[in-house]
Amino acid sequence: MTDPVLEVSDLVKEYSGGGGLFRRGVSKVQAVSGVSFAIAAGQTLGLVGESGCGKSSTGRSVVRLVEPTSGSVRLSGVDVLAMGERELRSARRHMQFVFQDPYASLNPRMTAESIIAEPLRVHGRWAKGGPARVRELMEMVGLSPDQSGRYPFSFSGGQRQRIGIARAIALEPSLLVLDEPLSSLDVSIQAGIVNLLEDLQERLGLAYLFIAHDLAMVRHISDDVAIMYLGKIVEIGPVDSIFEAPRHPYTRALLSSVPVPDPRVQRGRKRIVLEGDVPSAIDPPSGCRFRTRCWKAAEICAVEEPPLVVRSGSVEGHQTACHFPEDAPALV
Amino acid sequence: MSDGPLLSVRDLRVEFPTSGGLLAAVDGLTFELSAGETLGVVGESGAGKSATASALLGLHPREAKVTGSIQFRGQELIGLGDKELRPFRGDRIAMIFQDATSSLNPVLRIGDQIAEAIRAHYDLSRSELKARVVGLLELVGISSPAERADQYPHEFSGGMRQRAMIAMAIANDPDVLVADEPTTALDVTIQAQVLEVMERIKERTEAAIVMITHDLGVVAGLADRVLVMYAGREVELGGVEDVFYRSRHPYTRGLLASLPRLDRRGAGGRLHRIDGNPPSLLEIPSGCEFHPRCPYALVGLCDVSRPELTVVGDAHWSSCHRWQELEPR
Repeated sequence: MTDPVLEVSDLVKEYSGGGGLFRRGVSKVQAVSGVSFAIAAGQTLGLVGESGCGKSSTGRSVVRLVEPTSGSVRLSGVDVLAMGERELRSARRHMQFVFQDPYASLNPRMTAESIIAEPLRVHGRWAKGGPARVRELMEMVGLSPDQSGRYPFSFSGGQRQRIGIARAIALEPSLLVLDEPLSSLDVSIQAGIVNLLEDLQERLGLAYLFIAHDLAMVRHISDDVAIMYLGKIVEIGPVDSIFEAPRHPYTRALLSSVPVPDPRVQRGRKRIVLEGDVPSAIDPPSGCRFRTRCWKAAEICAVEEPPLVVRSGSVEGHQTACHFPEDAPALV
Repeated sequence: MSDGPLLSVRDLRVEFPTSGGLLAAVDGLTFELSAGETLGVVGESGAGKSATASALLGLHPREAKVTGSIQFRGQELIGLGDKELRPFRGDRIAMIFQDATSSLNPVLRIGDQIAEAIRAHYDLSRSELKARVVGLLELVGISSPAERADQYPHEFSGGMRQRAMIAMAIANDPDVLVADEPTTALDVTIQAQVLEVMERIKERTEAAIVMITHDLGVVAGLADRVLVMYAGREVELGGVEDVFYRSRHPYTRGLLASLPRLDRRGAGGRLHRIDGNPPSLLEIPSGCEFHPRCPYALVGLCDVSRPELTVVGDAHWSSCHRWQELEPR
């Protein structure tokens, strides 16, 4: 990879839980437990997993919306976690966040123009051509500049998400962290937002950390994909290799569980049904965290954590954290 | 038993009074359901899917005005009061809700809750009840069902709660099972558990299933026939392969084309997008409700005249003026 825009190593985020009136706060929720990845300019890493796997905490930690417990985050080579408040504020220009819910993330009392203009004002770019820049941004995201005086409630969900994206790209960042940007939108609206994100990436060379649970959408938009389970990346690699030759049992189960909207194809697929729920992140299983639900688990899986490495037979960059990686051909 | 359909819905309308007048959440729905058949009802938010589900069971809010006809084995259900509906609801027609957590009572044991659903309709001995409950939990794939029956909802995993609720819905061997987005709020591996159970019910019981969902993948895997809704109206109805491969409605086609595929490489390709937004029910467009977003819309026709549901093939209907021009792909 050419010099990555974002380089994350050994990222850890723990939330102290418990506490309360009758119990001292000793338990820690291990939301993210040593996650590493990198994204180059113009590339998208899809970060997927089920609720509670730590994908959102990872995204939030990267831009320091929450403070990570340890690890390193480098943005174009610069250590983000070492920054003080002021440095961080100016670095935010380069890394922006797009929220899941375009209803909750836009101030209802601000017009579209003032929402998009806010980052320009904060970073001292309003005086020189601010209004023109807002018009340009609205056009870039497919909104009519005539609507700049309107308030969020008068926009549809898809249009609000476009406002959120315009705000995020206002300062020409190099990285966008997109946290489930499509999941509150109807199917017929999602495609337009995805196409927009792809256009903007091509035009501006943006790196995307695309957090989602919709695996089909992740396949469509990503160059690389990381699969998370209970705070860890269990498999990471080039998108087609992950979807066509997954090696981790969890990845296989996950992919086999997604119904494909094609009756003949779907009726020919074999589903791997996992038993039970994801264990608690307060007290995750020893060794491999997936072993309690894994049909291949053996003694070693409880004792030794499998390293995330390239397994023989995988393409370059396709890493799997499993003592007994699958080797049969893909199942999709 | 008569040869007629199990369930026959004709011109169903569900309207809600608002300050701006009556708002039609469901506007003219017509379909039939035969024994053992699975009908997938698909549409986006506001399409009227859930309002349809509640109307089928008479569970709509009191202020809603339900008209048209819902006949179960020839008996009209619309207009019946709660008491008259009781022999049907939860017995001949049962419902699976989206959210198991709020449909299970947290302070009652799972087994007792299922037993209660049976006892409301049948007079069984304790041992008969117990055997039936254990059998049901087994059918929905819960291991050690006898022990599990003694547990409370909080002792169950999310997927198990959902399955316990399904066990409750099928407790009395219903003829019709209405499932309202039963997989929507679930993670994909839990969704897999629920779909597995739905498939088993389809195989092992005689229940006809109305599967309401926005997930076209779920419909593709489970449904025999598909009903597509848009803005409260029925836009297409047909066999699952007719609707997926030979659709005669631009909305269905657009929706299918806009979906990214798990089983196909996506790199570089653009997704098909449908312009505009689903209309607010307060401002349903004139003529065909889909015309402002439709690439086939003709001025003077589609914006003026509302298309009727028309036979376009063998057991295949579409409400589009221009269905003949939509060649099967």
